[in-house]
Amino acid sequence: MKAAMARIRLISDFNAELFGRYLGTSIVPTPEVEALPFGQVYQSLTAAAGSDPETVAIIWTRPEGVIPSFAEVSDFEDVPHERVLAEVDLFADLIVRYAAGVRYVFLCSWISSPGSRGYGLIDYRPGVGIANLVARMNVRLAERLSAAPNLYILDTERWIRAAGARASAPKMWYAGKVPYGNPVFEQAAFDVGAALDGLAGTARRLIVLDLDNTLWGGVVGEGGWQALTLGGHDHIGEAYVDFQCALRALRRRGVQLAVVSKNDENVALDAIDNHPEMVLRRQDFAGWRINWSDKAQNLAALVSELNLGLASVVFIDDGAIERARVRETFPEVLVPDWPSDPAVYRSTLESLRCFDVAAVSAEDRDRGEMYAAERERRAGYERVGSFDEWLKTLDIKVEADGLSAANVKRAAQLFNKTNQMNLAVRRLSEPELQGWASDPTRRLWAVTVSDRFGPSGLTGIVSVQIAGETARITDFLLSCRVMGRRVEETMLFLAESYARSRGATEIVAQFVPTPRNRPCLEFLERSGMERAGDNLFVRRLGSEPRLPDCVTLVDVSGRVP
Amino acid sequence: MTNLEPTSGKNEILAAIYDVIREFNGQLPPDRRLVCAPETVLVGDGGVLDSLGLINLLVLLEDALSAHVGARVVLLDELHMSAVDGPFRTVGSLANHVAAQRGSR
Repeated sequence: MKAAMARIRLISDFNAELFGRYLGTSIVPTPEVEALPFGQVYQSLTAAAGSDPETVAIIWTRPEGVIPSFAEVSDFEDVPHERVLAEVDLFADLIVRYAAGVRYVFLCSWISSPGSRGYGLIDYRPGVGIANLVARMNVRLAERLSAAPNLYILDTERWIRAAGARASAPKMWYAGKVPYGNPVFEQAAFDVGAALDGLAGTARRLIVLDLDNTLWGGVVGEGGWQALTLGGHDHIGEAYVDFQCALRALRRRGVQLAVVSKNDENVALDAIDNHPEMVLRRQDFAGWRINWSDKAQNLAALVSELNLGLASVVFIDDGAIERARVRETFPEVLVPDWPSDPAVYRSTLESLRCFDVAAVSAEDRDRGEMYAAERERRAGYERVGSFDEWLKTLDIKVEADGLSAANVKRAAQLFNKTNQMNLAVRRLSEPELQGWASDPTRRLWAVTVSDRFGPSGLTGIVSVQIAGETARITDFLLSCRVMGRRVEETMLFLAESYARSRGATEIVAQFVPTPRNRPCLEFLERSGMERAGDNLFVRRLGSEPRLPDCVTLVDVSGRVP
Repeated sequence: MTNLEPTSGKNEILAAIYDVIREFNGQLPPDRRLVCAPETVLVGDGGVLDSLGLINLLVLLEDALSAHVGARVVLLDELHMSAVDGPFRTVGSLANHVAAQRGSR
């Protein structure tokens, strides 16, 4: 998304020019930022016409600037709060209509005026307090705006808290109609950047962790797990436990954990398995490299084993030298400066903005178990020896379904997160995907994979468009966790079978190269399709396509010929 | 070269100005960032600050001076802002202006 985004449009009741400048320096690549004349929010929202798919609109208002009855409330006039909420509904409906014409809308939540105590002691009393009313207004906005799938609410309160005493800037307001201090706009710009990263599918997905003095206090190789500082009646031990709890919480959002540590593997795993205060156990880690080798090399090998890219990785290590080694070797790995005090490990982790995603699916929550199952599969492979024979032992089942309300969210997530096995790297929102798939000349399959170790979930998309005797594969994307199990060949079988049934005599695929999708090119090169031009692949559809022996294909849509 | 007048605390004032410049630069693209030097031009020919930028820089500096040197200095003066040869022309002239305000108290 960020590579294709043309412009950010600011709509505000205050002078947002300063915010626009921070956006220009915080987001890569630098966007074009357009600040509409401030104080004309309703005019700006109603004047927009037509479609502007390359624009991201940011709507940042003070509630007293756009909700007239709230301005009265904040002057302590006696106004029924339901009247305020009715005006919020109108404002929300206007925003939903506006959102239909742009790529995304980011709406900044409302806050009470910084420094204002409202009604003091009773400011949270329903029907009276201003703080209570603002909270209800925000919840009301969130509920009314949930109908727009391309609209996201950002938390202004978080930026105000981060700015502390510098959140308010009275002189900037009087001189320039800028209501907040520079730190507020800087934090807001960082969050917008994180949101755009998440929507572009570039959120980080793997945290690689050191062990000694990172996950626990002390060196396990010195005195065994019994000598570690972890939990117990010790404030530092508690801090390490709390840090592990925060990591486990992130794992539930779909972020995976892994370990790279210079230790004896048996000693380290003994601690992970047996220390009574360990929150994270062996099954919580997608993988590990615990040995005395260079951490950068170990990290690269581990990431490759997990079929992820280095740009997906965050590396956390208490050692400055180790961090420098990884940072300098792999600039695409995020290596945050790590504090020396374990008491702030958790807050430092939670301050990272690199995990924002547009949706959290059930599959995200189960992804940890899927990685554990994958470890078992690999262990089985090592015992069997022959790759194809091993694949047959997995009982791989592929279900092919059309796009539906039940799977469109996950399908859109795949479009926006898959980088390696991806033919055209199209980034589509849910409405865009539904619109594209509704064309009668196009057919899209959402592919779900499972085997005897468990489900891998909806992990593949293949789409075909028919034009006369030529079938064009428009989309071909597959999650890295099921790559190499003949699911790619099965998806190609789906496309070719459909093309033959529609009278096509050839099937083509135009590969769009990016820095990360070389695995897709390599698959096309070994698939039997012929290269017919600049990244163009073709196959004549003379004979019946062949389904891989190790796969059972189940049509749940009734449309696989 | 702009000479700083021998007013007490000029180094502290320059240090405060440079701290503010470093923060202020966060909103500027790399090729337009202010250099921490007395001869850096702020407004007028060769200057990078527009009116909002100058207001922002001066407000940041007022707060920083209050914190750094314990001085309450008023910089948002309409008269001075309108003059390109006024006290906000360069970092050095700004520092002199601040020092003069402190010296007059």
